[in-house]
Amino acid sequence: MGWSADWITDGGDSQRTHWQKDEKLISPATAKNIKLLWKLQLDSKPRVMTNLYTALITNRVTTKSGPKQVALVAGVTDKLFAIDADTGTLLWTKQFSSTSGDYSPIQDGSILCPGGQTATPYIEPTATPGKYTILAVSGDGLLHQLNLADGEDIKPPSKFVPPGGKIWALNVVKGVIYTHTSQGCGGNPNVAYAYDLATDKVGSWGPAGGGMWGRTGPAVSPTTGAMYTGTGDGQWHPEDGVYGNGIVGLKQDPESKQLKLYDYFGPPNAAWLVKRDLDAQVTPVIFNYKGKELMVSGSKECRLWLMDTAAIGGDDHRTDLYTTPTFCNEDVNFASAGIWGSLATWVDAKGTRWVLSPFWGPKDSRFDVPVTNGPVTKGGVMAFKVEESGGKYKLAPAWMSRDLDQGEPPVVANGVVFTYASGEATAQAYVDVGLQDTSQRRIPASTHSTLYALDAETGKELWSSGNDIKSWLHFGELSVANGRVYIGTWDGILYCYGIKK
Amino acid sequence: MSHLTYRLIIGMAAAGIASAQFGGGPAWNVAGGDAQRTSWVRTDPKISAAEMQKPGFRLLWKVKVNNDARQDYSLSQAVEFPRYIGYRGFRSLAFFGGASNNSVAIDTDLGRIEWAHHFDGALPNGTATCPGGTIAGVSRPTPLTDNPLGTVQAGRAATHALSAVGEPHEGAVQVTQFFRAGGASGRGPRAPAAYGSNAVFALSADGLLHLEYVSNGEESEAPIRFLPANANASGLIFNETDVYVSTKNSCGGAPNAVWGIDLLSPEKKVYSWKTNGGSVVGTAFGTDGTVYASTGDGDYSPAAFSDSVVALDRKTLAMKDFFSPAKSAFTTSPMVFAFGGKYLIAVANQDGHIYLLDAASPGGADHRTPLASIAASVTTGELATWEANGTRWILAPVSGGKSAVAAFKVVDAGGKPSLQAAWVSRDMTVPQTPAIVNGVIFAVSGGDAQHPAVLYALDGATGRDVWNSGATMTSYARTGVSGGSSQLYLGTHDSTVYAFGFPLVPTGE
Repeated sequence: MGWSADWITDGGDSQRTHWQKDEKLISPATAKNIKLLWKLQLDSKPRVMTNLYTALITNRVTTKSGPKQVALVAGVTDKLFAIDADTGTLLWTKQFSSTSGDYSPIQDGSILCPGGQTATPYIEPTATPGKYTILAVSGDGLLHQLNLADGEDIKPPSKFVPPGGKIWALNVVKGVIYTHTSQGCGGNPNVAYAYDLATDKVGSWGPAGGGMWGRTGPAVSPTTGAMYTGTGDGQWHPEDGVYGNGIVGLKQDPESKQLKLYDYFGPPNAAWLVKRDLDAQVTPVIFNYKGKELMVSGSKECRLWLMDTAAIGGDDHRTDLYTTPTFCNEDVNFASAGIWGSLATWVDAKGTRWVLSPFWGPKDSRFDVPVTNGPVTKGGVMAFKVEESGGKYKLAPAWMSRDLDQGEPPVVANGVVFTYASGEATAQAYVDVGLQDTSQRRIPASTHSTLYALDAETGKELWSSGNDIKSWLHFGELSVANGRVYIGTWDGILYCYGIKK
Repeated sequence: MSHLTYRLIIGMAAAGIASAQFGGGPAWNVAGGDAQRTSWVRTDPKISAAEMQKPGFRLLWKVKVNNDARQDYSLSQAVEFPRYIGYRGFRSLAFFGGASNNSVAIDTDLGRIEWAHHFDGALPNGTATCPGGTIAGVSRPTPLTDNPLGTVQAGRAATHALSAVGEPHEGAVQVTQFFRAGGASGRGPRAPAAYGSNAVFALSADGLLHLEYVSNGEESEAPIRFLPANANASGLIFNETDVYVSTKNSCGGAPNAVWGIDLLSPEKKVYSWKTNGGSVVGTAFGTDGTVYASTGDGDYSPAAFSDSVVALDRKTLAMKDFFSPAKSAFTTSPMVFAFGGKYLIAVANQDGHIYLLDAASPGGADHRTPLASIAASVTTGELATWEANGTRWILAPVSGGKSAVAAFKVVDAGGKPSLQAAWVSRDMTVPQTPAIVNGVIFAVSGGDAQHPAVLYALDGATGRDVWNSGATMTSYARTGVSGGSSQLYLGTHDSTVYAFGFPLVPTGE
């Protein structure tokens, strides 16, 4: 094989593009041949609605039994699983020993704060080909650095974040681990963190506003060196040092290792977002376009904000390059509607830059999109083209996918968009009682996930897993590498679909 | 952990400035605002005497409701639920009863009808005295206790963004002491919901009580027989366990009475106190639960309690005390408020006086002696009251020589409350019950068939005009304005709801 691909971090790269640039086997022409290659029941049980995190793929890992393509999966009960991606067999399992808190399986409890391992780890290549370091954070807040080949500690665990918090997918750039927390889990404030691997110092910054719960963690700009995140549900009063419901850029001070505010953007209707609980909680995606580095993020309101990382909110910190109309959530709901998760971007053969957004709930009836693939009532993926004319930027609607029972974050690979319908029951409030967000209601009402392959130019369905997958997935992500697509479900099963070489 | 390094990104002190975004204090749950029928919203993040001097207060939206007026009755006074988390999202809702057997909920942020519900059952051929229909207003759960209405002054966060760095291998600096945990969504664990907490209460023409879900207007249980069909009912209120309403004009064969229904009793027990004479004009509640009712003219004998203000036991409606100065109808509901360490009642009579009574002993030992009275003809609306800078005010829509809103001060005269005339507003046509929001008086010139309703904002201290709605409204009104959270609502005879206020936030719509 003259090529290979990795997926070493949630979202594929530090910019969270969700674009597998190195895919060769899967294409619009071959997608119809996708089959279940293997599935593996992992010894991982849920904590409330959370179980497995995104599979991280490393194509050529030097192990004692030779080079292997390894899929690494984290489980919420402080576990790691390394799997031979070619055979679907378990290579090793790691159970972290908690120094604080019990992170054994539970069914009833806080959906928002499951406890345990809450972040997708990161796989750091080393200077030695075939040797990789896993960076993972256990529920007690310790950073673990392990050898991907065998799961053994490379260094002793080191304190990173307060125990019991809810950190999101780790991002690592130039020796700094970035993450952030939300929902005040474990009694901890909502804070962004930067772990400096060279000094083992942890810088932190809190917006004094909402929690930061971009599903794929922060995005990091190669240009500015800052991490970017939405600041969730909180008031926007930057004049008072309060930065809820906006987008912030944070940068590590190279000397002190503090994490400092670098830039920020507050949507003009930030107060409305607070009032209706329409959190800015979408992991941003960063990409280059016509010589500029651009960034897109959004919220449960179901708009996208197109920003220039040179000044994400312009001079007044309230002016982005372009804001889309709302394309879903016409009912202005805080649950089961809007954008939940993260975005994707890719460039086609003609040089067109695309941005894809998942969404929950029906399309906004006032939103026009040129290409549709049937009525959408439960969710889907909306595709936009980035356009520029006379210095004016725009996200032009291009296509909308078929209906997805909750549209989840897409991944683009060689002209194919992979996405999945989660099957998760996402209602948090009910006609008779109002808000009652309990696992007792939501787990029995959840159904099963379905994986889809769509034509990236039109959104047309190319393939789906049908009813093959038996369980559902809460707040998951896909990974794609080397002709294979991975999805792990609530019941602890990791599915690998793809095309046999 | 030692040698922690904290560094403030922005070293601004916490600001105590009110924030507009977080409504959600005690709300205008019932006609008159609260169980004491004061029509007083204590605080508001935007409406104030100073802010009303500036531009910005305006018509926010209007919505036509599918409802037909019956005689002078069209839409009830609006009842609010300023922060409801429902299956369709976070909502600020206002509910209205519609005379032709309707109830409706409006999303007050967007001016969109959230739901509308039509009650089954025949509507009678109405008359001016017995219009029939859903005319008693609607109610949300209303506490009996002093329940200061007004938006919670959330203020700006008491913290600000912080940056920190920990020592090597010591992890992140614990900055918990600076930030409150739990996010800002306010969606943590909740206590079990009290009975009726997710309901709107309404009464249809056939005398059935309806408990409708706040979320979509569907009924949570089968309608409950409460009154005889086609009664002329008013002042519907639910508090904790019981619903109360009063009836007048002996419509539909229903005796003039105060009615209660114990919704937690297995048989949904209905109980009542009958005047054996005149109509019940209206009710108000003391903070101890005592029900006060005023009555109209009628049989004036020891067997009847026309022309009276009576005090009733909350659970049995047995009469505890009464006041009756003479054979002359009362024209307003009682209104209860605190003054000088006790609770007082203000109520107006056809004899051209507002009476001030001691709630603990209305009328004194001889049942004829008020604490004070003052000349005022009040026939077109209810009283209202508020307190500012230690002064207790009473407002009355007056008619007779001049139709306007008149303000009176309650003063201490040698250890005894007394009433003093303070100011009279501009002329109004059929003035309705005023409302007070953070010291600003909102008065409705109800108008008539030739003169549409006009909403006025008046300076609380002088009665001087500070704003008016001009020709915005195109029909007349027969209810007072209500609201909170920087918005006021008024339904007009053509079943249009108008919302006035300061825009809270740009919605992006």
